[in-house]
Amino acid sequence: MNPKIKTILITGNRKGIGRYLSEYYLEKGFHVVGCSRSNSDLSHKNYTHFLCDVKVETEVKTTVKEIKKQNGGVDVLINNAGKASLNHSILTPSETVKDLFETNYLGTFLFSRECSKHMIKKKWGRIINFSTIAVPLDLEGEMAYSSSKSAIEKMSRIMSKELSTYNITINTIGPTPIYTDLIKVVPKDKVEEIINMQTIKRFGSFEDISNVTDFFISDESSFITGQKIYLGGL
Amino acid sequence: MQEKIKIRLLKLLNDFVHENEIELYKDVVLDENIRLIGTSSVFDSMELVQFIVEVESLLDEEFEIEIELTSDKAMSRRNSPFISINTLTEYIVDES
Repeated sequence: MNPKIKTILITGNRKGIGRYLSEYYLEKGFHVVGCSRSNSDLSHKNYTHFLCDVKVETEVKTTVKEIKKQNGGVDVLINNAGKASLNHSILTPSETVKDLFETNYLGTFLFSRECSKHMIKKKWGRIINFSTIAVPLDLEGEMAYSSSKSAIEKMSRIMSKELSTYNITINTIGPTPIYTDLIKVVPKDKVEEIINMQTIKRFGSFEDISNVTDFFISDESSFITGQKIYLGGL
Repeated sequence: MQEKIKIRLLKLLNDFVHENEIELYKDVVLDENIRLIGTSSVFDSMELVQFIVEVESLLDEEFEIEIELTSDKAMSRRNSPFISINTLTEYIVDES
């Protein structure tokens, strides 16, 4: 266990990757704080859950402030909350684009900004953002989703430069398809098509994700920032 | 209240300059009129960011004033609130 890390905040952790990572880091002895729009049934002495919509600035600010009061701040932020949508660009409603950008991009920005304020004071922090392999693959039908994730990659690179002085690293992971609720909206043949584009042609696993998050948050990774790792060999 | 905030911000500024070993030009006095932004600023851009974070945190913890100093409103003002401790104090009092 990294002695510098006391509290890990994982957004959108009620299920899927976020839930897995929460249980994984609790098992490792960290204090984990999660947030989602609805209640979580995750129960552990070192776990706290907040109700928070990541795209609502006031809710994000209140959540981070409360974590600071209760846990002394956030040492590691994992911006996992995200939404997906599949549609041809011509058939994509503007509301969908707005919603995806607000949840994926704005949500990631708001949590990064608010948590960074505390990390700046401590002069130490780790932020991990979520992209997707759909970004480098330029997948048809994923214009809105991929664009919002692409924007997250750009944000990560720029913020990593701006915050490097304070020993805050910001890196991005781009998962392949993994069996989660998010992938349920993608038709089976489409998922197979994506997997066939990977160098290693298989579904990703939760363990593949935690392998990368472990690397990014480790003390030895203090020289690793502004990077993105795509799973599956892209 | 205004005077109390100003005195506290001045102390914060002094502590901040000392803790971060910021070198001052000869004869510069850290008073309420010292420039916080611009070419003659006591800070570089990164130090200013850090100072703003410290101010926001101090206002919240000691005065229970929740204010975002980097809001669109603050940034779009003709006269920046960050010119000096004096202007910053005025802005905080106006907005709280």
